[in-house]
Amino acid sequence: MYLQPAFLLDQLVARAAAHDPDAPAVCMEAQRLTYGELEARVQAVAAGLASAGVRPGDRVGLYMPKHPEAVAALLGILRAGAAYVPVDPQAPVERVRFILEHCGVKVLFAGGRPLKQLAAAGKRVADTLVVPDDCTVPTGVAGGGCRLGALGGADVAPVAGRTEDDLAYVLYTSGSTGLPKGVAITHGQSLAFVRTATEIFGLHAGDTLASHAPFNFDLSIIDLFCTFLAGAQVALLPEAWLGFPAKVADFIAQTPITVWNSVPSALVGVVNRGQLEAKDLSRLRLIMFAGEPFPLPALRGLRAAVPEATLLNVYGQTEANSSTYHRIDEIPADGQPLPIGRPFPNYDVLVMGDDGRAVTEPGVPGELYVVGPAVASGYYADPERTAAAFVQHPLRPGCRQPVYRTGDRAAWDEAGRLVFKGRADHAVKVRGFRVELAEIESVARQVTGVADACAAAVPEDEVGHRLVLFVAEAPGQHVDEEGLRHHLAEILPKYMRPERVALRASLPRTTTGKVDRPSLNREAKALLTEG
Amino acid sequence: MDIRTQLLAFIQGELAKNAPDVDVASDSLVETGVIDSVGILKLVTFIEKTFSVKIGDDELLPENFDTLDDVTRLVADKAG
Repeated sequence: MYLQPAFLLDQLVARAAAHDPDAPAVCMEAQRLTYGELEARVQAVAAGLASAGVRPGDRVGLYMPKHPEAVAALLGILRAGAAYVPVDPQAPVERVRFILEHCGVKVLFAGGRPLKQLAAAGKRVADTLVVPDDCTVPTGVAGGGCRLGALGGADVAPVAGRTEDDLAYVLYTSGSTGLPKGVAITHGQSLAFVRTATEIFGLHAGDTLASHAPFNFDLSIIDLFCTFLAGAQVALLPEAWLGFPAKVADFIAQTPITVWNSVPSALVGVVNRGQLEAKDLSRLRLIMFAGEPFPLPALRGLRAAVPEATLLNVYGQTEANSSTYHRIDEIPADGQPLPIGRPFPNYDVLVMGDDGRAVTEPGVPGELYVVGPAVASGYYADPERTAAAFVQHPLRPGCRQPVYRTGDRAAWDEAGRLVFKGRADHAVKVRGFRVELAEIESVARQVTGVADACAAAVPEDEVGHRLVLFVAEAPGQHVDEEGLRHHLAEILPKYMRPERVALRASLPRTTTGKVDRPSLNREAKALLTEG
Repeated sequence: MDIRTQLLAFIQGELAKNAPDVDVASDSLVETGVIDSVGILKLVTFIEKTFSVKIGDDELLPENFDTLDDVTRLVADKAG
């Protein structure tokens, strides 16, 4: 039952609704939508957006907590021929404003606490604001605004002439220059991954996938669109439960979830403190994780809790969807790497050595390049950073396949599987999100009295990394820590804000004059342990 | 100092440093992310040390930690 290329992402829902309108599509706690109901909501949103002035090719912002209505909203945006731009619901208003302006969003969909945050800031972030029917439109946020239900538009004709080359979504990630960058993905690029993944994962109409990742995180693409392609159900995990492993374990057992997809750090908490021995997890058949290495002791705990489930270590980046995966049949000894495996069938990956040649022999590290139809078009409205990361095929000049330089180091092992070897730069993962330490540093340097700044990341199993910011004060000047934190909180999303700030007269340097990061990393670790 | 005041001081000083727009005394601490996966562990350690009570893994539920009042109630029930 795999697809004709004529189906676009939102049309997967229409197709499933035509096939079985009463099948469950989306649920969150007691709220449930069948495919028939979801499709009706999608059409209503698309019609409403069209009458609010949204045209094919536009970008529409989404700043809402996880909710079935948010799923209908992003699908409705696609149905209107536009691309959705999901913004981290915990992102500060200034970051929202930057992102929406950067990709030319005129219409913003907002609800829940994010909407309250916009109202409190009173900053204009879009021309038009659309809110769910149970919210009121705040003033000052947009030129105009209305409730979705008031938009009407029942007589709007469906958008014609859409193709797989249409932009589907823009996902913003941390950028080392201090500004986020927007990864632009078309329907075709997304579907190239979604079709392969749905087949490899063996997803079917009887499955219920958990949606753990927020919609601005690319892991959500599996949760949403692989589900819709398979005619399965997606169960949204309320954001408020994320810090509570016992609650998450109950959610898995009681929904019941058959397929789980998240960053490892989310599962580590569930394994360690979710009281899994008391829960019936027999329906959980597939667990996949991506975004950072899985700590092996917790992985053994997971294996013991669900001995029958398939465990997949998935590797990828927002820029190329997921590109490799490894089925875990045995867990390596501590200190040994867990392979990231082999490429998905329609991907090609290259390990490029420092001499410019592709490495084929095992054990020799190089930079990982990803080639294939799921690789993004580039960064939205950012030709410079696009040119640096999306390059010509290094071995086949003239090859038209897009190639993404990941910045990740990797090597082949003896069995022909890839093993992750770290980053070529100063990017780390926090809760699976990419964090460019340079972005935090550059925002800190904007504060008066800051001469220099260096962010240190301390590895920790349940969050990936914990952040400490070292700040050197300019001679004769004092940095107000509260003011500095305030500035960071205005610009950086929550997961990028340092847990500790340490003010110094100067930063330690190596003999070559560079900031001595290893020494600061040790100091950061000590600071966090002392509590 | 009563339980609520001590909890408020800890949450304000340790957990809400990065969330200047949150009113710790009245907002939902869970929804605003003040109590996240790291925050909950720090808070539980603080509670167990300060009030000499034990909080079980089965009590680590969002409904027990949603607001300052909820946390105060949880601690008061145990300490009382």
